[in-house]
Amino acid sequence: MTSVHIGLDRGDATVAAAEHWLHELLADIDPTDVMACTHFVSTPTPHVAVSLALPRALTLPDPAAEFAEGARIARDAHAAGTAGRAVVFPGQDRMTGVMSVADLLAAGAIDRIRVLGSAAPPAPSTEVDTLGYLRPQWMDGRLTLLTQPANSGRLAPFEVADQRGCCSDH
Amino acid sequence: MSIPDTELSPDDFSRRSFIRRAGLLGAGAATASVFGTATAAAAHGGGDDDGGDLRWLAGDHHIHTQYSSDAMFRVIDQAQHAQAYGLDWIVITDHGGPQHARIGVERVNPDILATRNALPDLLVFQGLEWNIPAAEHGTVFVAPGRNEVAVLKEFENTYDASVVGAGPSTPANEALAIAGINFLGQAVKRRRVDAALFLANHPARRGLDSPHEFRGWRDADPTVAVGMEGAPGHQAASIPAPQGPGSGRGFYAGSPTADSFPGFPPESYRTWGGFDFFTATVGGLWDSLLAEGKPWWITANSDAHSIYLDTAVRGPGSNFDVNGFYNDPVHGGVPNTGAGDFWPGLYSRTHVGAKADSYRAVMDGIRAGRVWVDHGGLIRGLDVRVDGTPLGGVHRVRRGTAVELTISVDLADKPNWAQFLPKLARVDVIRGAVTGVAADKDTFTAPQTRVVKSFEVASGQRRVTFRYALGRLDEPFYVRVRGTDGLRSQPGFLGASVDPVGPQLDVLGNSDPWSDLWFYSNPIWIIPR
Repeated sequence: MTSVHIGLDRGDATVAAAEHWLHELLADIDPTDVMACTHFVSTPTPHVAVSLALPRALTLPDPAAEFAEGARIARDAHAAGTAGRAVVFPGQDRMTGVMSVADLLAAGAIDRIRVLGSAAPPAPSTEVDTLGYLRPQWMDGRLTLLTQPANSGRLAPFEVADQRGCCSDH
Repeated sequence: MSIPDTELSPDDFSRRSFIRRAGLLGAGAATASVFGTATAAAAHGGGDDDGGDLRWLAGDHHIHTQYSSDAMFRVIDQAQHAQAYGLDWIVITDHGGPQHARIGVERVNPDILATRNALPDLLVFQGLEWNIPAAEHGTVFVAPGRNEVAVLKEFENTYDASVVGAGPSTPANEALAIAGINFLGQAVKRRRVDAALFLANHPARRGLDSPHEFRGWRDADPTVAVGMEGAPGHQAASIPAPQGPGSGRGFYAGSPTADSFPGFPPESYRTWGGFDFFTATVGGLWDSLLAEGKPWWITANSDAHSIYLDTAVRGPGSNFDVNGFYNDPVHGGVPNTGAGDFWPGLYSRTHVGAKADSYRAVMDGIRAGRVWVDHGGLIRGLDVRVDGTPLGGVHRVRRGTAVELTISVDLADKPNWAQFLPKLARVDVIRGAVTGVAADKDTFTAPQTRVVKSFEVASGQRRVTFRYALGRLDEPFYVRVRGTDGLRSQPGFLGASVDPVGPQLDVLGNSDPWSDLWFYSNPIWIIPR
């Protein structure tokens, strides 16, 4: 099981860039029991740091001095389960297509499913369309998948992969 | 417009003469708070303003043309549709950016001038969609005049985040946004333009507009920075695929970025009943601004880029990067199911209580907050008064005086542009205490604001009037009004005790915009004398 938490930061401006880096870092590592997260960090300016939780120690280069604080914030948040958006997490490859809430929770590391605008948890039989893209987040010590009401009475992940370009488009 | 020229006062008789008149608006006419004394009334419509002689002019302040990299229509295309769908005024707001700053901001102007001539009953403002440094987008527009292009061009080249590279949420970029608002205020003070307004667009969409930025913009110059979209455009965006785009209503389908304000909940990234979270949440960000006793108004518009089920396509041979515009659109023959926008006036309307049929009067009305908005032609008219004081106003009476709210609604009497007669089901009164300036500039809740009364609307009438006793005045407060077709509701984000039957979080990829209609008014304050 996981025994080591590592924070890394090279000052990526976007989540996409940080995810790309994570996949490079993990390319030669056995993915079993590995969790990799992105973190929004505001120091020295707003950017994205990353963290890894691994079953064994790994030697990685230290971040540049200006990003040391970001790396520490990311590592501590992941270790405490207070923040962090999981890009790689146990059971991920078993979470595809349309699954019930109960099956999603049983398949891997996701501890909880929340529905936007609703205080109550979804019924175990409620269907979730994973849309092939899940990014659960650490909240209150629990890896939480945020979902929203979607087509056909199903739930869909709050974060979707193909987000509309945000600067020149609309 | 329906008001013949002969009914206009001599002062307002000629729009052209107005355009020649310069500097009539003192930039100091407004003030920062309803707690002020002499200038407070002016901030909300003038000391002698009983609102008795208002013409409600419907409009849209957020429209794109072929001078936007992601749009396609001529100015006249948008203007003709706006007029056909019943609008009295529009603002052309192409995206700020390198091509627009260099080419489009100038080149669109002759098209706008030609459209003013071709459609003399439609007011056509020139503006732009400002990439606000460190924040979201905003509408900036000015009163027509000989410097309209020069002011907009200088503004864009100096303060547009995508032109000067000031997107990230840093203190320096936030300061540049404030400087931009001050520039517009100075342009009015120095009589380069008669008036300039800034309204924040799709404010909650990506969490980029933090609460302290709203307060900073508003306080920088409340004659310029006057409000935000209560409802974004792109209201067809959630029509299910493949018949529609299948996205989030308003194209609100994103999630936080590094530049997002970390305090906003995920629910803020979605529309509720078609409205932006900041407006739709009773006791939320908008109310937190109103509870400070400072003006901040809401609007609604189309954000029209390309139109749901329209068959036009961009002109062949276009090269936007080089030319700064797309060639004139041509008939393409295939309905565009991927477009998420309605024509201006077809679905979203901003109704402004203007004292005349003129550019200046529309801008004055917006600045004064004499504004209500609706979707889908839910109602025909709205008159909200607190003992005679209209929307946006301050009703100032002695403590202990009994205060009454009157809401008169002209119900829809003709089918809307989806060919059905909308039925108003309910009108809600929202009341909030005025608690003064927030100690924390990032406050985005108003704990003493809630729905205090709901009126059911019986069908089969042309006009309904509701009276609601607000009690004897003790501490300062404000009221605002909201109404709905009642088809989709849920308890508000802050709980059923605050808003028992509020708008519902919109369903991703399956929200029928025509079966979930709302109207919202701006507030009236009631303040002890």
